[in-house]
Amino acid sequence: MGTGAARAIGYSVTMKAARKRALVIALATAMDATTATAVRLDPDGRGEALLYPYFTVQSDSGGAFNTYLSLVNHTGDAKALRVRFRESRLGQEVASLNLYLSPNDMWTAALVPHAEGGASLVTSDVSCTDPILERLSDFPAQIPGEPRALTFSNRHYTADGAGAGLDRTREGYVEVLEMATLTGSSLVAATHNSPGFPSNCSFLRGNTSPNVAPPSGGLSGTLTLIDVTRGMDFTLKAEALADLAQSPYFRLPSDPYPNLDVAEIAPVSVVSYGGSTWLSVWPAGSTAVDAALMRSSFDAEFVLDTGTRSRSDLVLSFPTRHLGLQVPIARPPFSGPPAWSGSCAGIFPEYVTVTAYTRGGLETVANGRGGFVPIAPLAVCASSNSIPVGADSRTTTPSLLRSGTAGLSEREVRLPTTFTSGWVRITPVVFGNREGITSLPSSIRILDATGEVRTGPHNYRGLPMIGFTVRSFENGTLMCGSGSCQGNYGGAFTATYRREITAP
Amino acid sequence: MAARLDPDGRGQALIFPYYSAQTGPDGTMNTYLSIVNGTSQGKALRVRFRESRVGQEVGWFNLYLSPNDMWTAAVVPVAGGGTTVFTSDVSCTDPSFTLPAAGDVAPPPQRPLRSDFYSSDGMGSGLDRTREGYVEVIEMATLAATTLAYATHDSAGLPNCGRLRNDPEPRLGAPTGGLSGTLTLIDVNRGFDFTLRAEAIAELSTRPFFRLPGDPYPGFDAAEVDPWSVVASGPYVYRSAWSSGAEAVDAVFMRRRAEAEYVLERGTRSRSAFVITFPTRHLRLRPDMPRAPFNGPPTWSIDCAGSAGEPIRFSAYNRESAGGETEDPDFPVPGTQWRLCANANVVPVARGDAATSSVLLSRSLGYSYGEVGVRSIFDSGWLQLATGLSATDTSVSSLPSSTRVDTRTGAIVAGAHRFRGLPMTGFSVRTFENGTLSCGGNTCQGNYGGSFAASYTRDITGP
Repeated sequence: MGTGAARAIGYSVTMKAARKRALVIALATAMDATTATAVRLDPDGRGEALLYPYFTVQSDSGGAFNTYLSLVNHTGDAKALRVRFRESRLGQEVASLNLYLSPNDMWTAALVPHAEGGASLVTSDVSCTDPILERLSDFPAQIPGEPRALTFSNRHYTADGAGAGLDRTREGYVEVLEMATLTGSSLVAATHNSPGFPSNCSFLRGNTSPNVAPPSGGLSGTLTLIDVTRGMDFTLKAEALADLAQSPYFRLPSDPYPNLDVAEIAPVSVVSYGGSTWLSVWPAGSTAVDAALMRSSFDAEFVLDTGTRSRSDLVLSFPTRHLGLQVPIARPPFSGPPAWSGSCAGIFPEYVTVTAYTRGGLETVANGRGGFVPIAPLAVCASSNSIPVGADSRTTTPSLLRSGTAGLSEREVRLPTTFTSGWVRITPVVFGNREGITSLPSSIRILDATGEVRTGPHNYRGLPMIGFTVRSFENGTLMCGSGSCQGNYGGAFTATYRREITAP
Repeated sequence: MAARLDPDGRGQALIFPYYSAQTGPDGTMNTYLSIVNGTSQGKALRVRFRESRVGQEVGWFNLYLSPNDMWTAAVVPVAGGGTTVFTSDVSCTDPSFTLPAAGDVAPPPQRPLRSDFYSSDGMGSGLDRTREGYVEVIEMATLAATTLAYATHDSAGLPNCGRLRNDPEPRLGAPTGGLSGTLTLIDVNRGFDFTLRAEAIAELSTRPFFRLPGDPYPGFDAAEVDPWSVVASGPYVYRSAWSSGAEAVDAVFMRRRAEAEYVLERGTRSRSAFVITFPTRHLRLRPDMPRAPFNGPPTWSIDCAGSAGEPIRFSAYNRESAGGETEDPDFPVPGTQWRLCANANVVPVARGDAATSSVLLSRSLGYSYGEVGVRSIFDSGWLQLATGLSATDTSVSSLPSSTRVDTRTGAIVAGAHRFRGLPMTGFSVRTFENGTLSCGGNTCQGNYGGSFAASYTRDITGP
C-alpha cells in the first residue's frame, strides 16, 4: 500500500439476493484491490505475526524461570522476521533482531537470567540473524551450531520513570512480525544447505536492499515457561495474526519501523461475533490490530485447593499498548499513555472490575470491591500484567510466576477463603476512552443467517488483550523408589474472552 | 446462525480432543475436565464421552449449569479394566452420578463408562476401550422460568436436581453459547501433566433441542444445527450453505494439513506424540457407507489392516528445515499405506533408530505405521500431516447459495465452496526428563510435560 494505511477504504456494497449462479454481487471500492488485506486472529494458529503473551526469567530462592520459544515457518517461502522482546511494564523494547528463516525452517531460543541481573537469549539455532549473536565464552572456538547469546538491554527505558534497572528485562512479552518473504539471491542466502546451514548469512546481514516480496504468513509458535527446580512447566501456543500486510516492509535491525503500526498493515479487520462477520475499516492498520484483539472481558479459571497446594496466576497482556509510547496523549482505546507504578498510583491506569465465581456459581467482587459502598475500581497498569489469585486470609499470596511487575493496583486478586476454585472475569470499566473505538462508515457487517450486508461504522468496546492462566498442583506424597520425589505439576490455559461490537 | 470456530474460546459446543485413563508399567493417565458457563443464563448440556476407535458413546448425561456455573470431573481407571468419571460438583446431572459400593472411603459420585454401544462392532468388546477417547459437549438449550430456578444454585450452593430431573415440561430457550472448557491429561506418578483449552464451536443453533438423556438426538446432526458455516482463509471469508448442520460442523474443522512440533533429544530424554481427532467421523447416514469427506465408514484395527481408514501422509522436518515425507525412512515397510483409522489417533514420534513408547500410554493408537519415524539424526523439529493422496483427494462442496467475501475489496460472490481435507482437531505433547534434579539432598523426579494445540492449513476454493 504505497501511500500508507491512513488512506480511507470505502466499501460500498449493494446486496441482492443470492442467485443460483456465481455472481459478483457488488464491488465498489476506493482502495487498490491488490495491496490490502484484513487482519484477523487465526483459530488455526498460523499467521504473519505472532504474539507470545509473556516471558519470564524471574527467580527466587526456590527456583528460577526460563522461557523457551519456538517459531515455525510452515511455508515453502523463506522469510525475514523482526523478533522483538518487550519488557512488561511499558512494553519498551529490550532486545530485537532480524531473523531469516529458510523454507520449512524452525527457530528456537531460550531466555535465561543474565549474571548482571537482566535476561539474555541463548540459541543453538543456525538460522541467520542480524545482528550476529554473541559467542558464549564457554565456546571460544567458532563452530557451526555453537550456542550464541543476545543480552537484553535497558537503553530504551532508562529515563521513562518506570525503573531503570536491568531487572525490568526479566519479564515481558514477545512480538514476531513477518516483514517480507525472500526471493532471488536473498532466498538462496537464507536457505539451509544439505548439512543444515544457511548458505550465506553475511550476504543478508546489513543488506539494505535484499530481494523481498510480500509476507505470506504460515508462522506458528509455542511458549514454555519452565521452572526446572520446582518441576513445573507451563506451555501455550502463540496468538497468530493472519493477513496483516500485503506489501513487504523489510528494514535493517537498527530501524525500529517494523511494528504493529506500520503503514503496510491494512487498516481493515475481520471479526466473527454475534451472528455477524464484521469487516471494519479503520484510519490506520494499528487500529485494525487493536480491533482484532479487542475483548470486553477476560475469563480464566483458578485453583487454590489446599489439598493440592495449588496456586494460580493470571497473565493479561496488552500487545499494542506500547504504540502509545511515542505520543503524550492517550491512544484510544487506552485511558492514558503507557505508564506504570507499583500500585498504579499517580498515572492513568486501565480501570477494571474483577468478578470471581466459585465452581458452584457463587459470585463475589474481588478485593472487597463489591457491596453497596462505591469504591474506586481496581486498575491494571502494566503492558504485561502477572496477577496472583489468593484468598484474603493470606497477607500476601506468593506469585506463582514470581513477577516483579505484577500490574494490578492491589497486586493480587483477593477472594474470600471459601473461593478455593472457580473462575475469574476481568472487565475493563467504561471510562473516558473506554467508550471504545469506532470504525469508519465504510465498514460492512454481513449477517450470517441471511447474508444481508449493512454498511456503517462499528463500535468495539473493551481493550486489546491476550493472556492466560497458570495453575499448579503440588503432590507432596509422591514416592520414587524408597524416597519421596517432587510431584509438582504446572498447567496453563489460554484465557477466553467476550467481545462487544455494535453497529451504532 | 452459522457455525464457526471461536478464537476467543467460547461457544455452544466444546470438543475436548482426547481423554485418557490408560495405564502402563510406570504410570497411569487421569484426565481432568472443566466446563465454564460464562453467561448469566442457566443451560442444559449433553455431555458425551466417545471411545477413541470409532467414536462410540461410552458415557453420556445431561448436565444442567446454573448461571456463571462451572463443572469439573475426573476420568480415572477402575479395577476390571474399565473407566469411571467422578465428580464432586453439585450441578445437576441426569442421570445422577452415584456413590460406588459401600466400603470405599468418602467416595465422590461416579458414572462408570460403558461398553453397550460397541460390544458387537467387531473392534473390541472389552471395557478397555473406554479408557481413551474424546469428549463432546453440546448446549441443547438455555433454561427459563421454573426450570431455571431448579437448576440455579441457592445461597448454600445447591440446585434442586430432583425437581429438574422430574420436570415434565422443562421451560427452555434457544442456546446462547458462552461455554468454555479446559483439559488436563495428568500422570501423577511420572510427574507429567498436559494442559489445553477445549475447541469451541460458536453459533451452532438458534433453536433449543433439549432431550432426555436416553434420547441420542442431541448431536451435531440434529436438525436444529443450522446448515451454515463461516470460515476465514486467506483474504476470503467463506459463508457456506450446506444440506445439513452436520456438514456445517464438518466444514469448520476441515483442514488440509495439521502441523505440530516434536522433541526427541537424548539429553532431555524427550518423547513426543501427536493426537489427531476426527470429531465428526462418528456421524454417518448409513453404517455401511462412507460419509464425505471421509474415505470410508468408521472402522479400526491396531495396524489399520482391513480398515478403510483415512489416507494421510506425514512429513518431518528438523529445526534446520531438512526433511520431507517420512515413510519410516530408516526402516521402510513395503506396501504399507499411510492411514489413520481411529477417531482419536495417538501417533508417537520416534527416531528411526529407536523404539518408542507412547507417552500417553495409548493402546488404540490409530496410525498404520504405529508411529512416525523421523530420520535418526533428527532430534527435534516439526511434523506435517497432509490429508489425502493424489488419487483420493477428500473434499466436500457447499451449496451454490454460499457466499464469499473478499476482504481486500468487500466484493461478495455467490457460489459453491470446495473444502479439501478432513474435519480434524488435535495437539502435540512433549516431555522433558531431567534425571539430575536434587530435592533436599535426594534425587527427585524433574519431569515436565507440555502440550500445544496443532496449527492447520485450510484449502478452500470457489466460486
